[in-house]
Amino acid sequence: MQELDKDYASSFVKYSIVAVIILLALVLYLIYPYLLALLQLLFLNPSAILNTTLFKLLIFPGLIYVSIVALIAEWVERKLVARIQVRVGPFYVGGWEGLLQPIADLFKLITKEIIIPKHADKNIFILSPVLAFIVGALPIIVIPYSPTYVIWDYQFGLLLYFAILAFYPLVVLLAAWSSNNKYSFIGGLRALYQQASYEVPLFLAALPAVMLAGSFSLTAIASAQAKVWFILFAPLSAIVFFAGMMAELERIPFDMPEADSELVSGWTTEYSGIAWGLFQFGAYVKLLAYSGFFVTIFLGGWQGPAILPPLFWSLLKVSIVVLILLSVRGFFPRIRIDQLVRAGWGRLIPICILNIVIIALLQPYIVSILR
Amino acid sequence: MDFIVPIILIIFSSIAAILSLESRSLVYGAVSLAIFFLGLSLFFFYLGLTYLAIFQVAVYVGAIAVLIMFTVMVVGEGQRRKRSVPLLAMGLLGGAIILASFIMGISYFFSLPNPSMQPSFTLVSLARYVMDNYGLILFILALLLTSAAYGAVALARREVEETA
Amino acid sequence: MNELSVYIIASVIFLAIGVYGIIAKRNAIRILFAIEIVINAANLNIAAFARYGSLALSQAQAIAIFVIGIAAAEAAVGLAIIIQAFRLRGKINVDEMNEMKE
Repeated sequence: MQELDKDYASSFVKYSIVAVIILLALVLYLIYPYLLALLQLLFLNPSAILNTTLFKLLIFPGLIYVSIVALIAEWVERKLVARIQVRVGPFYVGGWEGLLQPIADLFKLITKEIIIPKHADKNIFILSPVLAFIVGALPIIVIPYSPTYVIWDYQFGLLLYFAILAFYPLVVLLAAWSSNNKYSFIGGLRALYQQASYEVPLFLAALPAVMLAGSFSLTAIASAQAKVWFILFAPLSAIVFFAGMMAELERIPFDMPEADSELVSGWTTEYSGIAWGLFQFGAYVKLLAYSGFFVTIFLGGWQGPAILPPLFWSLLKVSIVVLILLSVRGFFPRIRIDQLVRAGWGRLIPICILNIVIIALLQPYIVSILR
Repeated sequence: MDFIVPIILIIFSSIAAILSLESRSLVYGAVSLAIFFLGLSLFFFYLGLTYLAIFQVAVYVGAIAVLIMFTVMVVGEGQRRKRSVPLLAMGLLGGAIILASFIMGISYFFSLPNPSMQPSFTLVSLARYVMDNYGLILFILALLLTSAAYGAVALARREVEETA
Repeated sequence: MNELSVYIIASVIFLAIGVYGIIAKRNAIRILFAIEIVINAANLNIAAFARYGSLALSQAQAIAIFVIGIAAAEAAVGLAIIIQAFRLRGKINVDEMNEMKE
């Protein structure tokens, strides 16, 4: 029997090598003109490749940059929260202070088995982590890091952010229901209540920026803050937007659906291995995307003194907001679910409306300041 | 072939719509209804109504599809019943009659010349248009949505047991 | 067969699918799916006339926004009725729900 297997394996390898070579030749023949143009761009005029959409989508404010920053953010969070709680954090892996800890976690998660519960819905079970990552990473296509570094300058970019934000509770419900576990379904329902309750304060808190800039486009909103940042005109809205962001990201103090001490792991209990890894990774990518929105709407995007390039200022501001978001975890206890929902509907919405009314009354004067 | 993009979108959306009615599990039906809404949003995007496309995703997929999914998960799957052929026949007949009669009745529009391209609009022009012409209707719509939310919560709440 | 007719036929196809769903389905939630499909067909019709007919872009979007808002209100109330009917009777089957009193 073993000789048969060896023959089968070797012939399979031979045929597959031939098939791959033929496929590669076909693909090269089809994309030859574009490949030639790309290579000419790369070698004759190297800096022009930075402006192509492919580069922006894959590398700089796109996939690879976001993944690397998500890994760094995980390390920073664990170290920062550990120091706040007077302990050391990861320090075994890697040369200095556990720098390679996220990569070790990634390897561990990739090599773990994904256990699918017996009566779970297999298709939706496998689909939900992928969908969660896609929906969490999608808002990065409209964030402007500088007037040229934006993947898609959509006319209604902020509205696209709201639409994608509204899509996330659907993913949470699918993930929670397909686990076939009553307790993770309860965790998923709690996550749904929390995220749906804080969508409306988020929308209302972003409205003063739209009113002052006159457009939903994020590059227009960031360009309108050349003289004064919008946070000085709408401080209440900025606070509400920050709180809403923390609630949408399910970070402590809005940690109820994932309550480590109560519901094991909330609505992601039944996911193990890279499926759970994708949920956590998607949460960090979402963190980066939402911080980018906060910086663009309230803190002026790329505006800063002209000594340093605008890219530097936007990255600095995003880093500061991410650091604040990560460190809040060490300071506050958890809020109960009914306090959470009551705060979202009953207390944050009047604050937002108050700020909108103030901005609406003062708009002519403010716009004349901004021009 | 000029109409390749609308025809692809029609096939995609009608497969999603038929799946949402015919799939065995209600949850798959709700998911494919959300995909149908996304297909409609792509239609609006292709027709140049960019604001409406995003609004459709935000309201239909973000709110209504979530509400439907929540109800489906709380109510649970219904019992399997035997397929009733008279009902199916009546449904297909009704759909076919609607299809045929509408296509025959709208043949007037098939021979109209194409109009010129309209200038693209901005958010400010859209907002001014709505507030000028439909301001009162917007206010009434807000009241309608509030009363609908209040009514839905009042209908679906549990009766609180009075403990003696 | 100009461009406008393609979109009108698309809208009529969705309308026919929705009407089939309303007539031939017994589960109340499926009937609600079909109603949403019909409303979206109407919105597509309005959008087609905005691009290829004589309706202004702003006007069509205003009409469609109001239609979406009303559809949201009606879906919310309909789902609340279905939840309460399920709690009282244990099953949602519109063929069997033909008496006010159990």
